[in-house]
Amino acid sequence: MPSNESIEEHTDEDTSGIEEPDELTNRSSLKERDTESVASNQNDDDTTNGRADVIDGATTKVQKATVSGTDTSILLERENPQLEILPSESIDNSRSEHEIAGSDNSTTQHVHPGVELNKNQLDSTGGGEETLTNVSKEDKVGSLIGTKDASFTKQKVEEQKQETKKFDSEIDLNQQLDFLNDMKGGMRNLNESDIENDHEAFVDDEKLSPNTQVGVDTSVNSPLDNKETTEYVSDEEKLLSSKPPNHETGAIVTEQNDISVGDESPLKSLSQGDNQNDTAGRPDTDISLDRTAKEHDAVEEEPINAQKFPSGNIRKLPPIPIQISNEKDENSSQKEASTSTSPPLPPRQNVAIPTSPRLPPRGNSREQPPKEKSREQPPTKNAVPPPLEEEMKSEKFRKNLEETKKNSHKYIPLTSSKAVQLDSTAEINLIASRYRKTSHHLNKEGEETRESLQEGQSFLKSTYTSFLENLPEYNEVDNVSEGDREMFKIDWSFWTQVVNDFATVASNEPEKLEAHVTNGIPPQIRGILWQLMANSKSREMEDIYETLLDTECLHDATIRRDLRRTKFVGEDKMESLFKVIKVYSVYDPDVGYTQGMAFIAAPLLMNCENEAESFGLMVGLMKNYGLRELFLPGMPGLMLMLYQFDRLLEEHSPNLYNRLIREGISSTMYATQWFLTFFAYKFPLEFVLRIFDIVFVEGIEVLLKFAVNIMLKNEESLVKLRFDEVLEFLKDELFNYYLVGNHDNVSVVQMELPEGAPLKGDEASSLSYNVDLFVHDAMRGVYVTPLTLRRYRGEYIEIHEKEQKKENHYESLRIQNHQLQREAQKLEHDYSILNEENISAANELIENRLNMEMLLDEKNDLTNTIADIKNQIDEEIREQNLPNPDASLPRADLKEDLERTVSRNNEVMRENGQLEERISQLQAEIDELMSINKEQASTASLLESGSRGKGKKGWTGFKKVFK
Amino acid sequence: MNSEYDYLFKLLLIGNSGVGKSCLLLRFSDDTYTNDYISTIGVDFKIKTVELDGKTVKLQIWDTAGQERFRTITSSYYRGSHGIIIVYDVTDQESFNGVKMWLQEIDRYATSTVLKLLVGNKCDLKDKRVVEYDVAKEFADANKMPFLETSALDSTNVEDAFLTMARQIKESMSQQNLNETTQKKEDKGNVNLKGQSLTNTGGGCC
Repeated sequence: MPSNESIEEHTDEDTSGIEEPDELTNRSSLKERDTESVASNQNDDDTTNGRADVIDGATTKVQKATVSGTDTSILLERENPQLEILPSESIDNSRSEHEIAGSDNSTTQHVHPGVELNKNQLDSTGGGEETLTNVSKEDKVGSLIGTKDASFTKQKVEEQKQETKKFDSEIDLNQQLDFLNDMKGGMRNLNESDIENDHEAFVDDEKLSPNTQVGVDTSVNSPLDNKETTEYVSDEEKLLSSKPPNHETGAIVTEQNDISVGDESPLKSLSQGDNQNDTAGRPDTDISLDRTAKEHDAVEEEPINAQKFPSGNIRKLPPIPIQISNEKDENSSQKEASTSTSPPLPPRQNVAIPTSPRLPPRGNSREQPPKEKSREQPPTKNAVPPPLEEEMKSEKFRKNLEETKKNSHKYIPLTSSKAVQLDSTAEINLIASRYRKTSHHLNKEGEETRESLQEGQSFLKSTYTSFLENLPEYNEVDNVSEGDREMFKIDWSFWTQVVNDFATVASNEPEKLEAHVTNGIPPQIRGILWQLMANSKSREMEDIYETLLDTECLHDATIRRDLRRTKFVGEDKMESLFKVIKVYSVYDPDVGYTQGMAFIAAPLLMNCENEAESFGLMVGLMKNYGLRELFLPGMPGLMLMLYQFDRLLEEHSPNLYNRLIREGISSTMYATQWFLTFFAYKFPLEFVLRIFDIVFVEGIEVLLKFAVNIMLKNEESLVKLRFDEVLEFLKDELFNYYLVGNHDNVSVVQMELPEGAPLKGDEASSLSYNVDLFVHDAMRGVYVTPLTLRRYRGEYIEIHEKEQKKENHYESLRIQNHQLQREAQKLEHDYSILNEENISAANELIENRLNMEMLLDEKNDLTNTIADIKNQIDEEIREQNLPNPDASLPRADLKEDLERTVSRNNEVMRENGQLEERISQLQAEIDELMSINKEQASTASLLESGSRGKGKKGWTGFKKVFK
Repeated sequence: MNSEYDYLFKLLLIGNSGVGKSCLLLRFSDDTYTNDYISTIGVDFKIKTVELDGKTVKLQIWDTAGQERFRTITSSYYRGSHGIIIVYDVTDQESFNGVKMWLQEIDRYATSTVLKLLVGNKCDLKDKRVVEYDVAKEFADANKMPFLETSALDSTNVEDAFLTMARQIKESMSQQNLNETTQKKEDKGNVNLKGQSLTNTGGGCC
C-alpha cells in the first residue's frame, strides 16, 4: 500500500497534471517526481511502470492503427463527438472528483507519464485530454479502494455520488446504495486480506447489484463516451475478474525485460486483436458479446449509473486494455489502457512483498522513460522474440505450472497467482466457467425466485453452522477414533469459507477449491455443499415438489418397473426415489422419464435431508448444469459429449484412440452409460459420490476428465485386446485399475494421496478402491478447458448439422425413393399394358395394312372388272346400237313397207287365189281322172273275174299301164 | 476369415423396454437368469460361439435399450446387423403392438436383406398371457419371419431362437451367393427383354 506520505507528496503534482493536462511543461516535473517516488514507494512505481508500459503498448498500437486508413477514421469519428460532449460535464466531474480524492491519490501521478505520452503522440487528435481525465477519475477510484479505510471511502463515495447526481437526475438511488454497500463490503474485506478482498468485493457487487454487470460491454457496440467506457471497464472487471488474459503477462514480461516492454505490449495488443477475430478462441469475448446483446437495453437505460460503479471495481481491469485495443478503437484503447493501468494497482501493491526480488530490474526499467522507449524502439519491434507465441502457450503453460505448484502455495507469488487465477478462471477453468453459468442462470431468474434461493442459501448456511457447532466436541476428545481423526484432518475453516461465500471462493481460489473438492467433500456436509454450489435450494422448488407430488404421470408404471428391477437404494428409500424421479418427470415433460435418471437421483437422495431437496438438486443439475440436454429426446447433449470425449481421447492418446477406431469400437458402445449416469451404472458408489462432488463444482463437463482418465489408465491393457475383448474389458474391468492392491498404481498412490481424504475408501468390503487416486488422476492427468470444449462443441455442431442435413436429405431421398419406386411400379405396369396395347395395335395396323393392300388389289380388280364391264357394256351398247339405225328409220319406211307388204300380200293373195284355182282345176282333173279310172277298173274286174291270175297280171299290167 | 470361426454373424436385439431382451441374452450367453437386471443404457454386447451344421459360428449380439429415447444411439446398430430379433412380452399387449413400429425401424435403418425373427418372451407366465400364440404366429407369417415363444426364466426356446436366427442367416448367405450369379443372369435377361420390347415397339412404329 502506498504510504500516506507519498500520497501527500504527490498530491500537488497530481492535481496540476490533471487539471491542466495539456501543459506539457508539467510533465517533466511529474516525471521527476515519479523517479523520486520510486525510492519512497517502489511498489507503486512498479505497477505504474507496468501500466505505463501497457499504455505504451496501446499507444504504439494506436500509432499503428493510424497508419491504416480505416482505423484512423474510426478513431476520429469517435473522438470528435466525445470532445464535444465531454468537456463540460465529464471533465469537470472528474476534476471535482479528483479534487476530493486528490489528497490520497498517489497512483494518479504515476499514470500520467504514460497517459501524457499517449497524449503527445496523439496531440492532433485531441483525445489526450479526455484520456487524462478519464484516467484520473479511475485512478482516484482505484486509489480510494486501495488506500482508504472504509469510512473514509464511504464519505468519498457519497460525495462523489452527490456530484454525480448533479449531472444525472436519472440516477437510481437504490442502485447507488447497493453500490455503496458493495463498496463497503469491498473495503471491509480489503482490510482483512488483500487479495481475496478484491474478488469478494467484486462478488458482492455481482450479488447486490446485478444490474451493474449489465452495463458492461455496451461500450464495444455503442459509440463510446466516457461513461460507457468506464462502465465497460467495470463490468469487464467484474465479470472477468479472474481472467487477466494477457495484460498481466505483459506486465510480467515488462518486469523482467524493460527494454522489450515497449515493443512487446503493442505486439501483444495486436496479437490480441488477431485473436479476437477468432472468437472461438476467446471465451471472454464470446461472453461479453453475449452479455452485450442481452443487456444492451438495460445499459442504455442507465448509462450514467455505471459511471459511479467503476470506483468499486476498477482495480481488476486487466483484460480491458487488450479487449479494447482489439476493437481497434484508437481513442478507447488509449483510454482503456490508461484506465486499466490503474486497476491492477492494488493487487500489485499487495503482492509487492513476495515479488520483491523482481523489483530491481523494474527500477532499472524506470530509468528509461517509457515515452522514449515507445518512440525509439518501434523499429525493433519485429525483431523481438515472438511474444505472440509465448502468449499463446502461456495459458496452458501457466495453468500447468499452477497445477504442479498447487501444493506449494507458498511459491505461487501473489502477483502471478492473481494473474494466473484471473486468467485461468476466465478462460480455462471449469470451476469459473461453471460458476459463471450458475450466476448467469440466477440472473435470469425472477425476483421471487432469487429471494427464494437466497432464503434457501441462508438456510443451508445455518444448517452448516449448527453442524459445525457440534463439531468441536470431536476435537476435544483425546482418544479419537479413526473416523474422528478423519474429521480432525478436515480443513473446516476452508469449508466454512466455502459455505459462507461460495462465490468468492469459486472465483478467487478455484485451485484451492478444486484441490479440496478433489480430496472429497466431507460426507457430513456433502448435501449442503452440493446445494450451495448448485444454488438449488429454494422454497419455491420445494413448493413445486409438493404440488406435483400427487400428479398422475404417464411414466409411473415405467419408473416403478425400472426401480423394482434395480436396487439403487435400500428398500426404505425406494419410494422416495420413485417420488423424486416421478415429480421430475412431471416437472419437465420434455424430458419426462428416461432410464438412467435413477442413477442420478439416488446419490442426491442419499445426501439430502429430504426428497424436496433432492428434487431441487436434480432440477439444478438438469437445467442449470445442462444435464437435461443429455436426456432430451434425441439426446443432443449426450451426442455432443461423446464427440468431445472422442476428441479429448484423441488429444490425450492418439494411439489408443486410433486403436479403438481400428477395432471398430465407438464411444457410444461404452461411454453412453458413463455420461448418462455419472458413471453410476457400473462404477462403485464411492467413485460416484466423488464424481458428483466434482461435477457440482466444475459442471458435467468434468465427466469427460474421468472418462478420458480411466481410458488412459487402462490404455496398456486396451491396446492389446481385440474388438469383443475390448468391449468386455470396457464394461467390467475398467476400474480394476483402481483396486487397492493393484500393483500398477499402488506405489504412486500412497505418495500422492493427500492426508485426510474423508471418504469411505477403507470400507470393509472385499474389494476396495483407491478412489482418491482415481479422482486425483482424473483431475490432474486430464486437461480439459471450457475453451477446448467450446471448440469441440463448435466442431460437433458443424458435423452434426452436416450429418443432420445428410440424414434429412437421406430421409427425404428415402421417401422419394419409395414414392418413385411405387411410381415406377405403376409406370411399369402401365407400360406393360401399353406395350401390349401397342403390340396389338401394331398388329392391327399390320393387318389393316394387309387388308388395305388386299382391298387395294380388290379395288384394282374391281376397277378393272368395272372397266371391262363398262367396255362390255359399251360394246353391248354399241352392239345393241348397230340394228338401231334401221330401227331409227321405220317410220318413214313403215308405210312403204306396209304398202309394200300389203301389195305383196295382195300379190301373194292373188297368187294364192290363182293357186287355189289351179288346185281346184287340178282337183277337178283328178276327179275326172278318177271317174275314168273307175270305169276302167270295173271293166278290168269283169275281165279278171274270169281268171284271177290273169287279174294280177292284170293290176301289174294296169299299173304298168298307169305308169 | 479368422481361423477361430467359420462365420461371424451380427445379431441385434430390439423390442420395447422391459420385455426381457437382456435376460434373454444373458440366458443364452451365460445360461443364467436374474430378476433384477438393470435397464440397459445405450447398448450392451455379448459374444457367443455356437456349432451349426458342423461349422463354428461366432455370434456377436448387441442388446439395445428399449426406451424410445435411446433410439438415437441404438439406430446406428441396425445397419451392420445380419439378423434382428424383435422381442415382445407375451404378458404385455403394448409390447406386441410395438412390434409393428420396430419393423418400421428395421425398414428404415437396416439393410434390406436383413433377416428377422419374432420372439415372444416370458411364455412361462401362463396365467398372465395376453398375446395368444396364434395371433402372433399369424402376424409373423404375414411379415414373413419365423416366430418363437421363449422364456428366459426357464430357458424355453432361448437357444432355439438364436440358433434359428443363425441358421437363417447362414442359409441366406449361401443362397445369396447363388442368387448373386443367377440374379446377374436375370438382370441380363431383363435387359434383353426390355431391348426386345423396345425393338418390338420400334418395329411397330415403322
